Amino acid sequence: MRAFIDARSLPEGTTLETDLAIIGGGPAGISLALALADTPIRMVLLESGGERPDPATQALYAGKEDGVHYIPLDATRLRFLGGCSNHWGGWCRPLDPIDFERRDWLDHSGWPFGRAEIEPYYARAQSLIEAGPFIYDTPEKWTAALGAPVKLGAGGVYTTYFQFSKQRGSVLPTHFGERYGDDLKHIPRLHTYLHANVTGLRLSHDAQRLDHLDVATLAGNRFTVKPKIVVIATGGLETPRLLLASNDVMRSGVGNANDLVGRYFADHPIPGATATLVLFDGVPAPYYQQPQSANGAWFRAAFAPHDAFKRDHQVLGSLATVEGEVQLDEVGQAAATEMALLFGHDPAAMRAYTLGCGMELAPDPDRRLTLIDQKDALGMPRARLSMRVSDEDFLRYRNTLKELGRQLLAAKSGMLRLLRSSRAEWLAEMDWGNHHMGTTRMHADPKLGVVDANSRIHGIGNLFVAGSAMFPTYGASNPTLNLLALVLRLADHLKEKMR
Amino acid sequence: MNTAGGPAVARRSILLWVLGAGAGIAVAAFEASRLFGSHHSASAYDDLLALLPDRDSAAIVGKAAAHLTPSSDGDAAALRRDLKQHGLTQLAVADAVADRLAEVHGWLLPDSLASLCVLAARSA
Repeated sequence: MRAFIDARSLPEGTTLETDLAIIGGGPAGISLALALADTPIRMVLLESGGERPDPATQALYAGKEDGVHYIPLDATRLRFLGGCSNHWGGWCRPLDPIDFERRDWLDHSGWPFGRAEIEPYYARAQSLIEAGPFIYDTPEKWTAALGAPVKLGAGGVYTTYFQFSKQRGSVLPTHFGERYGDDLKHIPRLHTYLHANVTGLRLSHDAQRLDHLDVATLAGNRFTVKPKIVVIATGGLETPRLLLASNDVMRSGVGNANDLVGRYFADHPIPGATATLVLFDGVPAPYYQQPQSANGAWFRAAFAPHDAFKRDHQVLGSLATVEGEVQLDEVGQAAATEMALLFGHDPAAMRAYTLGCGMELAPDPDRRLTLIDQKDALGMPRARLSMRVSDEDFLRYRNTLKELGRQLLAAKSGMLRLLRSSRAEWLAEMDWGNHHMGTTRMHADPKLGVVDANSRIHGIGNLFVAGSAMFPTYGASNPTLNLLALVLRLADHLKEKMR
Repeated sequence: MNTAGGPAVARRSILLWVLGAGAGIAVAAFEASRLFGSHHSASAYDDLLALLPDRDSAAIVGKAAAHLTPSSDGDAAALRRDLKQHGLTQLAVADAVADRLAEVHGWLLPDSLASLCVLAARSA
């Protein structure tokens, strides 16, 4: 067992040589190291923080935001071992097949491969996040015991299921640093450095290869890592920041010959209460409102559009959850009473609930991260995030809600009120998923993507990215499970490459 | 003891009692009609509005949906024809299946029911 190394104790000017350097000790970086544990590959894992949060390290994330209100850049992520898994909610769901497709009606959409390419990795990713058996969208396994799903007429929306990461028993969710710290210490050829901040990606003079990494600590010492291969696993905000700031050889930044690094940023908007759901028979099955345990998994239901509906009606992904019970106003009470009676229900039994939602954004090159003149404590330029949401994004989700309302009426089981129409209404209570995606998008064509289908930065032979920064289209699913499947696929690629 | 005034007093009491009872019955009849009888003014759509399970609730919804059809007698005639053929429940479901929905105060309602609600509001 090898203890973590405090980089602040390294002598100034030290050079570390290794086969593989992993930058970032969040879920992606930790999972990559674990996936390569049984190989002869010598690894160095460089984590900026320690094992606990530290204000000075966290302050390295501070930046600016403009446009649509977004979470401050030093609050939307965490900079210590385990990264964002230290504040995630544990919500997991695989991407849908359509999320990978190129759609003519959706500019900049499509991955270089379909879901089948990462399908073989989902089971191991599920195991890493400790979410139990992979039983998404197979409701017959649990609904019999806990109650039937909400009855919907035929149409474009269906009940789908999240599963939840759980660290021990019912303790939610898995914090990767705490959970896998000892496992990292047992990997014979891994050295994990804490408090080690990569401040520069230094390319060879011909810009064909990464030569070395500049690393600094807040204690003031600086050192160098010379790896054969580097994987950047610092998330969808810090990865482009590091690439753009490393501009000594490529003036526009590493991998940025086509001005794509930092563009197409995305998160999942959570626009508060988007609809009121009335169920004529009253209370929905418990898995709609709270995670329930069954068959070794924790799960919760949501309403989602089918891929065929998305394709036919040109809408994007969304996952609408049933939240708290609400009282109806006079018009609502009258409308629900009238409908309940008409469909043969006792109005006294009906109940109303708020619908919450996480929704997908269309790719937008102008929703982007750039650098500003201000510097952090290590001399790195800070970032500015320009956040945008189009009216079309809201309209698409509204159309999915209308379909849900239609299906409830067709089934005579309930009805829906749409609560948001104008842009001001949509933005009034906007929250975000803290899911940072898209800024080093994957595409086979270097003019259209930062990394290729193997997660390698176009044009640079030994520099890779791991994480949701690569997602070119995003889906509505929470990214962790999906990015881990991609990490495991990358691990296989690196094993092959480094054999 | 004045025996001569006896019958006159008795007649007055009976008259007062009859008048009081008559007034009581009139008030009770008025209240009963208010409580149990139809308090909607007669309209050309009463045959349609009779199909509503709760006309008062429908009128509340209809008031919020004043911008919707039926805006003409022709619309109402078409609605009458459809309702005769299918009945309101079946027509409401058919509207939902065919995506014929109206948005009233954000509520998604079958077109047929929304139209009846508008008529109910106009006739209230």
